[in-house]
Amino acid sequence: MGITWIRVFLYKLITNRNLLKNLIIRDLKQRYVGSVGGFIWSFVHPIVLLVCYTFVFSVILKLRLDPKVGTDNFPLYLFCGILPWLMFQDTVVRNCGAITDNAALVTKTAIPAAILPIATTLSNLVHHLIGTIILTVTLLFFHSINLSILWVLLYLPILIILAQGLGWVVASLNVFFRDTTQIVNVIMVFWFWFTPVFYPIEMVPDSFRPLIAVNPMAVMVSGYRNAFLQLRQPDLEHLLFLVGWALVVFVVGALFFRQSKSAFADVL
Amino acid sequence: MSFVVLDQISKCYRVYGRPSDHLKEMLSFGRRTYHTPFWAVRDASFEIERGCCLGIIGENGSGKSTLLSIIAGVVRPTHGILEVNGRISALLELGSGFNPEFTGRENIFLNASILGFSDSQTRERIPSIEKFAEIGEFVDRPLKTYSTGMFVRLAFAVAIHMDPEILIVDESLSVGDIFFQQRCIRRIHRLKSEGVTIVFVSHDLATVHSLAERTLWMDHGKVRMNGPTDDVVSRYLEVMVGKGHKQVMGTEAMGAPLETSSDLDVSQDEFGKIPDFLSEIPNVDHQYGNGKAKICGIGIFEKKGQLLASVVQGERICVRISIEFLESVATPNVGFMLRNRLGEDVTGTNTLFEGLALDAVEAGDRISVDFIVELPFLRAGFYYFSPAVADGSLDEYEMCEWLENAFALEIIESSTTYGQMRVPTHVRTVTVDRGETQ
Repeated sequence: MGITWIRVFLYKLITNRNLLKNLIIRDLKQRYVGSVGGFIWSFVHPIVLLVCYTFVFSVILKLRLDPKVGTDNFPLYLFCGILPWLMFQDTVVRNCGAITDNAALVTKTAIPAAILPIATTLSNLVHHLIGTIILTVTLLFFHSINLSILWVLLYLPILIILAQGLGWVVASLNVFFRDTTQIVNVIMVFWFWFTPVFYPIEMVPDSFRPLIAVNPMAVMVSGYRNAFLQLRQPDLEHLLFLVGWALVVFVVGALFFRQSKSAFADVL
Repeated sequence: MSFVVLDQISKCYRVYGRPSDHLKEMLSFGRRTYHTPFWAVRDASFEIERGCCLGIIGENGSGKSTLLSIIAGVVRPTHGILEVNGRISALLELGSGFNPEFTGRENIFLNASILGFSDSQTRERIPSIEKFAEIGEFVDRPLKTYSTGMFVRLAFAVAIHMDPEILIVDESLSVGDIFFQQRCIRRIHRLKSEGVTIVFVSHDLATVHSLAERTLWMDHGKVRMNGPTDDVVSRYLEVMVGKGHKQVMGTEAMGAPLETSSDLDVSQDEFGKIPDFLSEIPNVDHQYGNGKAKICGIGIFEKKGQLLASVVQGERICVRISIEFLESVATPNVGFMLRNRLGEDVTGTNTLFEGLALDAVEAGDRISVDFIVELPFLRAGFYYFSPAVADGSLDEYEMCEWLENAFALEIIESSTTYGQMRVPTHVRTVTVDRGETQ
């Protein structure tokens, strides 16, 4: 049964690949439509972020990290962590509107509804890749770089699957319950500060460790860091933990979406 | 083998008081219900032959659009079996995938991919789409800069260039200018001759007549009649007109009317359920006057007090105009002008002209004036009412307020009308001479 679903799903994706491509292009263009700078803004945002971090943390606060964590350059450390987090957060938040913002497509055309959240996620992926390129270039100049960066290719698919899993849920919840977007935004603020992005995981007091330990994004963030800053090889235990989370969330989310999508056209 | 077979199709919508009720019900896992069921379509069974053109008619809320959505595969039926032997590519609403921020060209590509086309297939069709839509250089400008007509032209052009096996259209042919409508209809005739199956919903019986060979009449969610267009449309009109007559005969005197002119032959509760004072004006194209009075609302009603958007020719209607006076007016005169689609005056009248002199009014007075009109047998189409209030006599007056084209009413033909209107006529012959053969 499960195999059939996956086959049907993949078949639909392939037959609608041109639609998917055009939806992604539309989504990317939509962010900057009418602006003169256009796609350049996708590069400007992460660079500005990087410059600001450097100013605040290195110039003003003069933060120096414990050499144990791999680098004493705090802005770079931060950027490595915030990159996967932003991919995760943007994907989940923007998926809230994946169905509701495209009500006309869902109620007036016969496209498979599932393609809309996927298009949203993949368009976010493009921005993530831009951020990744900027980080890589920066590391090349201010740090060093070697093949360990390729471990990111292992984390990235897991990150996409995890975010898409939540994306399924919020996309369909928002159809019935428009407060979903606000709730998701609030949860994301909590989730962000309880994920070691701004601080090394080693600084977390022992009593809070369990909270961090069950947080897949904590593992994801340190995985990205380890890869970019050549700290440690990913260990199997962490990877299995992440894959487990991602698959469970994805399957539950997909089932939820599948179950509720027949009502979309009725409610929208 | 029929293209589309519907077997006992029903669709029930769950009506929720609030959106969150929907969630509550989902979370209670079937233990509690928060909805009231509404059956939009019930037990519809019919077949659509390949190459056939089927029109769907019916009053508002009779389930026409739901039925269309089910055939298009957008809405899933609650019960019943839908069998489709072929590929359906449907745009229920022309231009439904269009995004106003993007250019016409970008929208063509997206819309085509919704219908399953690759970009190269679309590219081949672009010149022909541009030619048909006649939007010129606008194709590279954002859709938000388009006029309504251009939007519809582009949307229609895209839809018909996508080699549809079946074209499903939900009343959109009535938009756009008259010349484009003609061209659309010619094009649909051509698609028909190429063997394309067409299913469309329309309120415009003339269009249904000219396009559809078979017609389905939906009534309260059920298929009332399904057969050759001539039979269905004439039966439909019979019932629609008959409905009106019954209401006239069923009225009895009751309650006090507003001011009426002396010879008004109207039973007193006819048009009785209309709100005393209207406060809605659907449209204002232009307004002028000295500001001594303000027209607050205009409405056109049928006998039972139902607000009308369309009416069968020859019916009796009530035009109610509600006015608030901002200053005192000595000899108020209220009236309206009726214009056709081309802006030509068809007829008009006012209280003085009908022999009713209204009393002088003070600032703050609010009145409603009813004109009970026996509509002539005007040709089908849209007609516009422009209400006005003046101060003075018929020859010498000062306009207090004039609202241009405030209310649009569609007139539907109950029989063919040659020229602008059909005039009550009796026919007789007078034999003057007979041929020699006799």
